[in-house]
Amino acid sequence: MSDTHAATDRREAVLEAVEEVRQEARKAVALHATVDGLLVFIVGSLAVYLTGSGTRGGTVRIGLPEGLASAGEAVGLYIPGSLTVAGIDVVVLGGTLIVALVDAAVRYRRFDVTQLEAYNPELEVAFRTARDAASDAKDSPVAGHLYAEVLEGLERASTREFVRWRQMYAAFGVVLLLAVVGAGVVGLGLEVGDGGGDTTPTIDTGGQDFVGEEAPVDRGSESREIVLGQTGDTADVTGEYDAGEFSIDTASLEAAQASFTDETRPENADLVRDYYEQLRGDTAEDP
Amino acid sequence: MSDHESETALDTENGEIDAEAVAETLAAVETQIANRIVGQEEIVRRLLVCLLTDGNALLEGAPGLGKTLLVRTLAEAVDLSFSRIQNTPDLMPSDVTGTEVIREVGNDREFVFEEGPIFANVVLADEINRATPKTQAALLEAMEEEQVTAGGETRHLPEPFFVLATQNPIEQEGTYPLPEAQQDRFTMKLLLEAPPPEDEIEIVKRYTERLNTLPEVETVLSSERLRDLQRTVRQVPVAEDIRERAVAIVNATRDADRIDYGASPRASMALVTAGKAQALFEGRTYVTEADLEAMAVPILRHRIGLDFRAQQDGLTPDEVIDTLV
Repeated sequence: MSDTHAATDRREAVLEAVEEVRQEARKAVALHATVDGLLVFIVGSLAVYLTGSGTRGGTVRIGLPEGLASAGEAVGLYIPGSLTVAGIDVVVLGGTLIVALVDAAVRYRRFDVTQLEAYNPELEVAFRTARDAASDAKDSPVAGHLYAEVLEGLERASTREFVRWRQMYAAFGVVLLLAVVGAGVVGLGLEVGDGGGDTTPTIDTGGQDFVGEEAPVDRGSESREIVLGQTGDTADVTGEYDAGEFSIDTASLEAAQASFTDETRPENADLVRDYYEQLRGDTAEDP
Repeated sequence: MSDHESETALDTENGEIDAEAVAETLAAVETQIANRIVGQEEIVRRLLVCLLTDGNALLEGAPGLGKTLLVRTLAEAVDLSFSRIQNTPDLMPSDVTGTEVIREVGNDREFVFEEGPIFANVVLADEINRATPKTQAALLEAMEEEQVTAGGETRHLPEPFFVLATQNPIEQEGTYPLPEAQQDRFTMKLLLEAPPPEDEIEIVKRYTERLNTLPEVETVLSSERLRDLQRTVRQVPVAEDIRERAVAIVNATRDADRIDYGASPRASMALVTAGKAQALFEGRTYVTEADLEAMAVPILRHRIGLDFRAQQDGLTPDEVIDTLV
């Protein structure tokens, strides 16, 4: 192999190495953008749920490709022809996508082969010089030495640090935390008041579920006759006491929740005064 | 000739030079110079960088600091022909470039060109500011074009060609300071400082024990190999951003606050080329920012003019350049 060919081969190898480094950078960028997008999605979804915005804005019908449904059927999956989603969910998804794309673009702009030098100081300026020289198709013996040196250095270099692990772990931790918080909030069914500035969570079930509807008292004032069983003949025996039986109109004795009539509400001032006077004992009637 | 010269520093194998061997060869030159010149390592390095870039240098220093000895030693170590021009006000251009003289050849007489002292590889133009502007211009034109035109004929100067002009910064009376345009033709301006006491003791010891003998200097580099090295320097690749950095440094001299006029694009070229040579000294085949920064001051100091405020504040060009690098 002639010297010129050797230099050319090395130059091409450097160009391939540069492309590989860029590919690694793209992978790292995609990973970061995914995690950041996920973070935005969870924060957005949580905000929508807590502010109760999910019910506003109507729904959006998103048609799915026709082939998708038939493809799903072929593998035994039911895939609808269209999806109906809340408008706010589309906004959240769109926002997530935009953030992920912008994040990826910004990171990729920042990522360069120079990043490789930053994490592999032994390559110093050599790598980007070799990149520029190879791009300019320089095949001089001096450039050949540089290519050889850089290719040797690249064998020891690592692109692992392209992923900013600390940042990645932090973002992932926040994602997990928000996911747990979100799941908890959804499970408790908490929501925030509707736009009046009152953000105190309220219990949606209401007091009626516990104490029942307000109704006049219609139990306890009616006399009922209970006939106990007895020996001897009698015409109106309705039950055998000795046999341990007694009869009762059970329908009229069914459990009913206690409540107050409108006139006897506890906070009624007249009723309170009346009770008070009775408790004082005859003060009103027997001064 | 020493073993160093037989080394195949510039031979290529598998399409690449042996950068380490090149660095060793250059280090050998420095070592030989150090046999005679005590200290001054930085000046020697910059002088060699200047030589490798095929440039010329302006050397400024008080008398007695060894300027002539330095240049003579360099010429010996690199196997270059050496000549010295002592500039005086009555020196004529033809005294520098050469002139046609009538010579008898048999019964005939013919004009023969008698080469002046400029026809050497290394030319020391001592106290160049003592020569008249006309002579200075002739010398610097020859330096720039590496050729001399006399009697209607153009004659090329030998390769490599290296002019080292000295100036005495103390005596200004009866001198013709080099105009800025002429100074710009010099790749570098080197300032020779007085040696520190420990170096001076070594100088006294080295040069007071024998009569008329100088420490031995071996020739470690042939002129052909030096020429190869000069070509090699030009081949050193430079990253785009490093090139941009060099231009930015030079550009900064044009907009800087305390500078009256800045350096020309010639300075940008000199800075990049000097950076390449500096890289080879370090055994590298790529240029770093540090290479540029190391060369910025000697390349720019004679190419900028400080404004009145800077002069009033007692600032030197070196200090102002340091703030820009």
